[in-house]
Amino acid sequence: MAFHSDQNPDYLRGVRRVLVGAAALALLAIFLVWRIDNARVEQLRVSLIDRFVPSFDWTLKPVTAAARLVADFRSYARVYEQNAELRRELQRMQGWREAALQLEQKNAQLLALNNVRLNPRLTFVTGEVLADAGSPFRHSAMVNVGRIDGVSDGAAVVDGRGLVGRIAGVGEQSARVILLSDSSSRVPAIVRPSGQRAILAGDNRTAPVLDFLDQSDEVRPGDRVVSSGDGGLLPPELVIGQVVVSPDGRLRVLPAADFRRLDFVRVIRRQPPGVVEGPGELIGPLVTTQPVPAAPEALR
Amino acid sequence: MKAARRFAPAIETAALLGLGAAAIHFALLPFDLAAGRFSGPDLVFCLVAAWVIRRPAEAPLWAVLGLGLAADLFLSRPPGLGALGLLLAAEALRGSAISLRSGPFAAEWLSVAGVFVALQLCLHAALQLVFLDGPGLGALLRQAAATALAYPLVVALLAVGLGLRAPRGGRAGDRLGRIA
Repeated sequence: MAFHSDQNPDYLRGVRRVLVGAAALALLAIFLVWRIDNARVEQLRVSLIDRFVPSFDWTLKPVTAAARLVADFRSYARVYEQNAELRRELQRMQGWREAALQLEQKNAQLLALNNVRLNPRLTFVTGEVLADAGSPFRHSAMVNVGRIDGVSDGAAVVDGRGLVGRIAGVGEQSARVILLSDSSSRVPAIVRPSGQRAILAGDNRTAPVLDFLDQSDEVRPGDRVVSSGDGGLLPPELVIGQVVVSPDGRLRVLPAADFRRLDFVRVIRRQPPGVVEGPGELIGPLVTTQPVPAAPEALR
Repeated sequence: MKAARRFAPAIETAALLGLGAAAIHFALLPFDLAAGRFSGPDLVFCLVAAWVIRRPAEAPLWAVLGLGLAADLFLSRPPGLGALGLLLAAEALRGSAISLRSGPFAAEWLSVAGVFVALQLCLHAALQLVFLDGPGLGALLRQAAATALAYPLVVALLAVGLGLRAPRGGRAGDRLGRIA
């Protein structure tokens, strides 16, 4: 190319090329230093921003005020839509009110039955978290209960608020809990109140992704997510968390469990539900040699 | 036909720096805090591209470097990486500035957009390479689309406001005059 550079002679072009290369290497070095020693470079960045951005405050203020004015005006223009939205919300609230009344009645019935002792299907054993391996690739914790405490593989683990994960690997006296955020964690879940079924898939972030949703427009941020019990591994109706939308626009679930203060956890021991195999046998004449024990008082 | 030049070269360099600072400032404005839906155009890139193609001499290496680093530091991007991308893109555009200037504007627009898309892809690859959670490829490509749409506007505004026009037609005489 005869006129590759605009006006420099050839030797200047060579010098220039060296300069560009040196600058590129310097920038690459800055990036690598930032990647390796993040904290110090971030401090430098914060101090720079601290130094310069507040001094531009006087330019930020009128622009933000103008933007707010525009936004206010726009919301004024949307007053009709807002009205319709409020109406819809009111309808939903009435539905909730109905549900609350029904629950109140049910609660009263259950309170009346309060003296009955049924055989509990779910029992739990509480353990202490021994260690947690918080590497970017493995999110798991060790708890100090194991096979001798009746912990079995696949059992659900909850803290006081919600599901934490499930057991993957049981020793005699310890077990490994694989947390919801682990990239190999998959939990079948139901989103309430829309009843959509989904798989909660961990991807090494705090909030796991809601995957395989059938109709994602019916799911809104703030919806409750509980375990569905599909597949029979985890018991149904364990609280998992709330739906949020992450900055990249995906639906995620913010767990109800507090992963930062995970000291004690409950491992749920559960009898697997009975499986119906084949047809039942013929009902023959009932032969009783001993009297049938009387039913408990309250069941009568 | 002489290239329309309204200001002295030094003033044009200063204008690049000032407008670049204004573009960074613009990106810092709290317009929409609910991130994720819309990622604005990279105005610093638009400015540097316009300058490098129209006034290569008035967009010196140090100015591009400074703008890139300032944008990285203030917009909380990985420092150095964005500046490196900006520098390499600017050099690539500078290398073909003459053919871009003499061709139609659509060709220039296409190649600037192409360079920016390549830049975003490289950025994504680099972030993946060092195991960093970037904004995601979708967001980067949306930003590339916004930048491509913003580029003609930036060029038009610069042409009207600063007289920053590409000298088109009658190229040979003009260039000969400046070399001598």
